[in-house]
Amino acid sequence: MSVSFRTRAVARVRPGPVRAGKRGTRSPGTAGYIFLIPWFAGFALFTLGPMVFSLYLSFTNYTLLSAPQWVGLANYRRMFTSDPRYIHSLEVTVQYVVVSVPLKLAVALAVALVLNRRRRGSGLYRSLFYIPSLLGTSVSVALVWRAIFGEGGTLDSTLKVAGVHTSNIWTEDPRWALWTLVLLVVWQFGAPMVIFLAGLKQISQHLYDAAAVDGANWWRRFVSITVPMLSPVIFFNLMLELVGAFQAFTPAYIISGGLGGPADSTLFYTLYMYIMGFQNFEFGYASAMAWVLLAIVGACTALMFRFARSWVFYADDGDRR
Amino acid sequence: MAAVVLTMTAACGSGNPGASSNGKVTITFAWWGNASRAKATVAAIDLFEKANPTVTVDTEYTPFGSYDQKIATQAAGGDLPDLITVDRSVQNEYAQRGMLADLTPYVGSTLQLSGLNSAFVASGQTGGRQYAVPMAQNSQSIVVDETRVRSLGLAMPQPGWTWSQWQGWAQQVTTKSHGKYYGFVDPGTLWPAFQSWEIQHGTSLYSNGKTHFSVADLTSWWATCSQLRTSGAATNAQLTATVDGLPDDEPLLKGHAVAEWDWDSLYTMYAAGTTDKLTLVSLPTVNGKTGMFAQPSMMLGVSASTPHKAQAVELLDFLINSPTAATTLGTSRGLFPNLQVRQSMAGGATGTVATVYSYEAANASILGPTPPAPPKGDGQLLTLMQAMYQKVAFGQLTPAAAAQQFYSQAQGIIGQ
Repeated sequence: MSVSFRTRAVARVRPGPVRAGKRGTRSPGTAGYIFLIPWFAGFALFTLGPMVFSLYLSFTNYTLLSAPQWVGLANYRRMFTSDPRYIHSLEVTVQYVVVSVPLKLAVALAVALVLNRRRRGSGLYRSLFYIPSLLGTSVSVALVWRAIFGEGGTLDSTLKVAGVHTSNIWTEDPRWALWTLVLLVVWQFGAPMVIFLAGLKQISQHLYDAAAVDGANWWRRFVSITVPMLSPVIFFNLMLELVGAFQAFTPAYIISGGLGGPADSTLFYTLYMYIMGFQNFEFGYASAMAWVLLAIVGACTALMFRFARSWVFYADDGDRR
Repeated sequence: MAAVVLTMTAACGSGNPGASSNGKVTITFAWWGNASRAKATVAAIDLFEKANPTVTVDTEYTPFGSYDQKIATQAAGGDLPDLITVDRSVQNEYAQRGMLADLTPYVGSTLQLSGLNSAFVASGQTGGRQYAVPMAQNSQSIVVDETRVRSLGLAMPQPGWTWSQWQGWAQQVTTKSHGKYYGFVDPGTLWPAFQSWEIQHGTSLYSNGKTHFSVADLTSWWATCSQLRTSGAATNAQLTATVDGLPDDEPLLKGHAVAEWDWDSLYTMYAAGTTDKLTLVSLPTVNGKTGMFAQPSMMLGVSASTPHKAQAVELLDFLINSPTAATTLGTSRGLFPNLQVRQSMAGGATGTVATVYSYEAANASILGPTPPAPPKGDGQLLTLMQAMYQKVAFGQLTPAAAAQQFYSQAQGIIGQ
């Protein structure tokens, strides 16, 4: 699901028209389609097929052990009328998205701005800052996080050395657990940072020079030049992170031991979906949840694109504004 | 997501016929558990293979949390193991869905059940047919770290103590250790502990496949637990949240508490995690009742689709009746099911095995009747209980409000 979103976001956001088929104007790519057959076959078999099947399942009761039974809209009704844990999981996820996405982008942009200045070793720093993102969604990082913030964790021992005795188990307290996950994802700011860096390099130095001549200070140049010129890249990163954050799963799964605890404080949408499907064997209900998530993410994306017209600035089609 | 699993399982569901040209037959045996249980089981299977040279047994095991998921996936793909360990909470479901073979024709010939607890054997029947067979017996207990209790200069808790006596003792542990250890691990998240509370009060969790506990019952249980917690007798909310069913992760072995509720079949795992002396004590009482009972800790069933039923039944019979199997398996799953073999083993037992055997022997007279296998959905209540009581412990909900929410959600889960 995330893949298709990504490609679409890239296609829509990329500035300038895509120049294709400039030379060969014969049949527009029969050969191309032939070469694409393996990909299409894989897509149909492993993405489209299962998706259509899951849409069907969402209208059924299906336990994996016996054939699906048609129940109409019952699964969808149950979600919004008689499943408080579902509503709660939605709230937890929205909270996570609203906090983690802007925070992560802010950190990524700040680090990119620092690294953008030409100085010795900036390439090395760039790589170092990117490392957490390479480890990214892996299970091992979540395990490390658990070791830091969990029972008898490193954070607690470190604070103890500093004379602060909290004996807090951060991951086992509903006031903190979600924020340790936010911290984890913010720490993995490498991917948007690299994209920001590439965007920053595209901004013409002339603009800054001209502004400096006019007496604009650093903040003024940032607000009036960097942000508008970078806005397509900001938008692109925003879309990617938004879609990704809605689908966050691994860290919550690992750190809460697959239960979304304590007190359901890390019960992400996808985690609850997983619990319903693979622990409770309610695959019909889980499928319905998946489709509602798709609708929610789709609606958010559409809204963002709509809203984007007012703040995203494309230098190459400036005449539209 | 579900569909992906389906296509995958369908693709690899070709199954192995299991018979090779030289007349040897290969069967697969699946169970859940940790490495120490696996070691004991594989050793027992080696003995079976030696005695039955024409049969080869492949083994597969996973942790409890993912076991049912694996079996359900294999069932959907038509690739079930030949001999399957079955949890009581899904036993009826498996039998009704036609996953398990009817063992009735083998009973009395290649499958001897006469030496087993007859109530346990009966609990393996669905619609009058024998689909599952008890593999071991366990019972509720409080695991107490005797070494730490003694080092604080305190006496050990005694069988028959009431909840308030336990609370007083546990508070002393907390005070005398200056908060280093709590006396008790707060049992409020544990569904089976609530089950005993219900029996102590003369009622039950389920009746006729429906919920039978009341909001008032659950409120009083959580109020009792909350009192343990707020008085300092039991672990705080954060430590209680670390209770996940794996003794190694939990407060007793982590050194935060000296007493913890658990099944005695897990005693072997506890003992492996510490050098301290651990003792089993019977549950706190209400009006002299512990609410304890003996139950089959797990069942064994044969896949309905296996072409090697006879061999699977042979292995099953070996695992529940053979004295050599009993010696090798120890108490890795609880007490051995064949009563005569168990009797003779108890005499020569040493170490952790002896502790579990003598604990159950001492309590044999107070154990109540075994409740029937729980209805479908029981496993969901287990995790829901955990989430709900955590809300109580962290002060987000009162015991009464949480009990009300739990109750109404349970109605939607059980008997759907």
